Amino acid sequence: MADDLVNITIDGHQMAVPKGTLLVEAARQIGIEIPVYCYHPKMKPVGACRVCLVEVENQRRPMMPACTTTVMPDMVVHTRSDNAVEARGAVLEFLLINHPLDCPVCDRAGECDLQDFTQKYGNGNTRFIEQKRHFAKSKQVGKNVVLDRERCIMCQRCVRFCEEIAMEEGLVIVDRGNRSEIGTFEGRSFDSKFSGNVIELCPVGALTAKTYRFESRPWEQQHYAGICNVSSLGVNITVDVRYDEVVRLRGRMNDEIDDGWLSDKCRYSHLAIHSDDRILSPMVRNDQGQLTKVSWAAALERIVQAFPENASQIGLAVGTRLSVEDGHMLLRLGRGLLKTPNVVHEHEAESLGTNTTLTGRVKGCDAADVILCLGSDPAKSHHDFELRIKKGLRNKARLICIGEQPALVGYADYQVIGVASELWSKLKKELKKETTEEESGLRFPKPRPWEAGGETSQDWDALVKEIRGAENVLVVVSGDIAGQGLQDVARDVEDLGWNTAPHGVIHLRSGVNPVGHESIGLIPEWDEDGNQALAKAWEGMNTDSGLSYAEMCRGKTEMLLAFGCNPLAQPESKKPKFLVQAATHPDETTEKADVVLPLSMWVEYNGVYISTDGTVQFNRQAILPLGEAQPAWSIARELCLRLGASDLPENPRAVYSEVGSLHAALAGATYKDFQTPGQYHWSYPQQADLGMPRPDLSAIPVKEPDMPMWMPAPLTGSTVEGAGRLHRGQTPPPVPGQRDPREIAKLLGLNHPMDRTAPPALTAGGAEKKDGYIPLRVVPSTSAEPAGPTPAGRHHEIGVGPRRRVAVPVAQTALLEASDAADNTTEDGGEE
Amino acid sequence: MSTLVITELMDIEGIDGIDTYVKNKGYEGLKKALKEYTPDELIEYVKASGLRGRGGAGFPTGLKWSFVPKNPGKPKYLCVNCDESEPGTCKDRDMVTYLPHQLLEGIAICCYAVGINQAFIYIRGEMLEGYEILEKAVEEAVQRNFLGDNILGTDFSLDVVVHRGAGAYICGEESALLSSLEGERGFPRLKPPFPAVEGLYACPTVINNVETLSTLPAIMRKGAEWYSSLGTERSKGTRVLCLSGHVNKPGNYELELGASMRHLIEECGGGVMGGELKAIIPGGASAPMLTKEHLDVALDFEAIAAAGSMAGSGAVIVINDKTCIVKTCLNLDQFFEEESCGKCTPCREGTKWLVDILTRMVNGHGRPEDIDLLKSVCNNILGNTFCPLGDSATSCIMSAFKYFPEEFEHYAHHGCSILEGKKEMAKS
Repeated sequence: MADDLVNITIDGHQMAVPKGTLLVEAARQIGIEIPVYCYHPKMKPVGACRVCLVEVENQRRPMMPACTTTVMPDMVVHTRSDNAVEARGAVLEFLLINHPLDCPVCDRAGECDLQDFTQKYGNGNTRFIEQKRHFAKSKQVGKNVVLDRERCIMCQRCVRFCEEIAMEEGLVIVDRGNRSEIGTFEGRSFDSKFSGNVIELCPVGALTAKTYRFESRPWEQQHYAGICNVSSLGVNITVDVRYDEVVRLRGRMNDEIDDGWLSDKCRYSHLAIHSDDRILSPMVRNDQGQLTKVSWAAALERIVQAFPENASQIGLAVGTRLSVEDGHMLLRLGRGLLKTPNVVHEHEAESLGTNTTLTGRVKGCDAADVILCLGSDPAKSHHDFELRIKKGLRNKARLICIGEQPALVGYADYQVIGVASELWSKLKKELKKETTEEESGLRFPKPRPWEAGGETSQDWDALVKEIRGAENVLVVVSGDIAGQGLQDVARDVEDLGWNTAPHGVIHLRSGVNPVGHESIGLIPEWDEDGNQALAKAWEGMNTDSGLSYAEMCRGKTEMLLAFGCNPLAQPESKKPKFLVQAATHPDETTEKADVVLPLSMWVEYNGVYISTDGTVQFNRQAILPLGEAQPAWSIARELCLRLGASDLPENPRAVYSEVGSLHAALAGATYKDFQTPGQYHWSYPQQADLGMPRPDLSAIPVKEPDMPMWMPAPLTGSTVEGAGRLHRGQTPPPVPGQRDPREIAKLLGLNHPMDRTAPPALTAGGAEKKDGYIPLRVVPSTSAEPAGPTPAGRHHEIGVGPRRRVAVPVAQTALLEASDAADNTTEDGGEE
Repeated sequence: MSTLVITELMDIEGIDGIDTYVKNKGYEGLKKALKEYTPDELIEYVKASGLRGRGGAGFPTGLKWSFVPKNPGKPKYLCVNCDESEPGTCKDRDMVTYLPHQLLEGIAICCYAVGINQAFIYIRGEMLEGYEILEKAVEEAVQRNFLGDNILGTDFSLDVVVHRGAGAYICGEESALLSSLEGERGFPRLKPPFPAVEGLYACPTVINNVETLSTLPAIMRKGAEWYSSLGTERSKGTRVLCLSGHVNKPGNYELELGASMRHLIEECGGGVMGGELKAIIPGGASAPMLTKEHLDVALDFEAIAAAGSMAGSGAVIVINDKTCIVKTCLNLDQFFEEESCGKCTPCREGTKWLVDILTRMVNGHGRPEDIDLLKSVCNNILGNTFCPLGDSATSCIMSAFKYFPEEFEHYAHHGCSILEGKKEMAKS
């Protein structure tokens, strides 16, 4: 192992890092910040912006870009030498001379790398008196993306994302030199499925989302770790909330699943939360056939009264957007209390049964030799998975598409059109044949099919040979695979010996949380042996097999309760005698439902979701439920209470603990599982990363970083992980060479807002206060502030002004105080 | 008159046609190489000749070839850099126009030595005439089996493709040339990997200048020893120098390395035109200026470097004393600003800033602090850029500050050129 380590010295600190590590990453490991713009750990380094220049001893050119330089034995690097500081300042000055400096109206202000690094490393003033370069201010380059070319610093991240990651035509550089600008090919619009990622990647405010422009400032927001509620991949997101309103969703780095990217389908899914047609109060259909608003009590009463005598005439259909907790409480309502066998989730037809273990994982694409799309089209159904497949292709995988013609076929090495199940049985027969043929040793680097314009081949033999030569095979199937005649694919793959995680079969499920619902038994067949604990706890529960979802939709039960699903949109659907729907937005079922209940959306309550490859993840509540909406678990709980149950769990945490104690599949699960990042995939925006204290550098052991990717100590908005270093109440990271504003404040005998123990009191009639969340208010100068050696009448805060470096020499303090004493106006108390 | 190596045949009528070229011992060098040398011996032979690259850096050619892996399991390529765009340089154009077959012969020799079967000539887009001549020459050479399959009965095959650039100075930088040839944006690439290991289409690639390759036939014909007897201790042979500016007889002159600037300007160029000598740019627009004190500096790589400039592409630009140096700097920097590719920040923003400041000064709005500002901006560009283009943009200004600081001072304080200032004083 020692051979793979290289000893280097950064700023006098010796360390050993693996060969091939970039200087910028090596420095980050010991908490030394090197600013970057063009560098991004998920893309090839280009060395374009030059802001990461560091001084390396004994080099022909002493100033080396840290983002492209790999460590060499006994390298001595200085990131804070005079030369390095000068070069960094120089690059920042160059970047700013043509920058419009319109931070006050820029969406990025507050989470802008240009702003942050200028403040830290830039010169305080400008020497540029010439005419700045001007462009038309906003240019819509795509459906959702707006470009401000004046703000652009030409780091090329967006261009490289389109080229390298999305591997499609998108944003390009137009013209050259000082006239360079980002744009699209003439006459084209940038309408990629992944276009939103460039907004997140942009280190400045050049690329902005149409939905977010001028909507919010980063410092007004709170950030919550969420899970995407659009696809079953379990893509990690950050939910940004301003005044209890979700203003945007961003990707949250999870190497296991999303690699930090987020498709537009998920990115803009928050628009539904605050849309005008949200169902916000319970409604009951009156005699005239009109839905009229009623109270929760009335609505629930109506439902309870409608329960038929024969319990098997009741059906419960559960939408897969609901969490595991929702499913569990509905199961308790259905099988436990109503004693009906009919409790299923809406995509149960796709289920392979509980006996099948699939070993394929999303991250299996990375190291796969062959990715075999079997009758499935992940590019259409699971956008985020497409990017993962492309990552595999960039590494070494060959893409083989069998069956229908997927949108990915332009990237495929082999394509066979036909009936997937027939082709698969032919293929597996061929593969099982013994072969003595020697593989040829020499393999030329594969011509990339997306460059060659799609290399496809009907050459069956070549395809078989390709698969036979592959060590890691990931078979991608999706949707209703029994319907496609592929129900045995898991066993076949096992026979072929491919079932070694993370490779094997990955079944891309419809909906969001079908795997979660199956793990707690929301399928027609009830597994009596596996659920003995449950049967014991819920005495007298129904353990028969029930109706399928399709049968329920066809009106096989007298009464149907549809939670977060739309049964009447199914083919051959028929309204049952009494139909209850809990929904977020009106749909076909709402039009005919007898009782409509307002359902909370996923950001409005805590919940656990299990992704299509079995990853258990936690979604944190970000906002309060809108209107009178309630989460499904809560509605189910209310109905249970009305049916005479007691001792019911009172919150998602308790529900999930009950899940852990009753269900074998999730035995022992509690919310505590999610407190250890790494064990499960869930991670809360990490305090330690955001305000990483400088460690004792003399005794740094060499170790793999916990999260190999983007620990955004130095970075803000453009990082994959999280924007807004200036969370309220969090300590900003110490800046090398710059004094801590709090120290300055202390020196001046002032009270730094971050040192305040209690938030300033709100004026009368202030908005409702939610934990830790202080709305902007003008606080009178007489408001109660903690006692301290604060000079009388002084309310200026030093060093935390809106991104302004305030250097106040101590000698001037008295002068300032005098002027403040004269100025009796109040100051904004809570603003940062 | 010194010995002619590269331009020896240039004056012969019809030498661009293959018949005349063959009649004048054309392709003899290639025949000799194929018949008498193995590829490895040939590389040693070129090493022994002491030939150094003529593109600007002066890297030993044989050594460069020897870096290419022998059996990489991938194709290998030769790229001929004929994207001659450096202001003042015009040698490759003549070599392509008048002696296309000499270049092709050189290409064939090089490819045989390195084991290449595919060569590209990346010719500057504006050289339409040269392109047409080269196309014709390749066709002729293929017909006579000097190129193509199984050249002259051996198992060595070579295909030559002539590719026109689209008008970017940066594409003369070798890695940008490769990007451009692959159909990508003409941006320089990260090194390492170096082209010898991973160049065109990620395969081992040799990139040589036209002049370098055009020298090979003569070396093969007359011997490495003969060639290495020419020139100085470390700079062997001859080189074509492009004399331009204020001289009576501008043009391309082939001189043995070691000849002095005085010899070039006074003997060959017929002396300075229209005034006294003020400054010399000895290696194209990227090279720092020298003054008349440096007239006796020899025009070889080491001597010019010792004098504080560089031999570069061999373009000697003569500037007389009626010329305003500030305006000269502006002119040169306008070129670099126009040609900056825009990839890295210091070059993209810095060149524009330099031009802005110089333009303002020349227009009479200079300020005393502009002197320091110019120096500082130059310093901030220097050594911080991705490729040497940014550095090049500062070299004229930095050297002008060194030798003619008063001209900048005059602009900064009086708002006009020192030359105009003198004129006004003479009137009064």
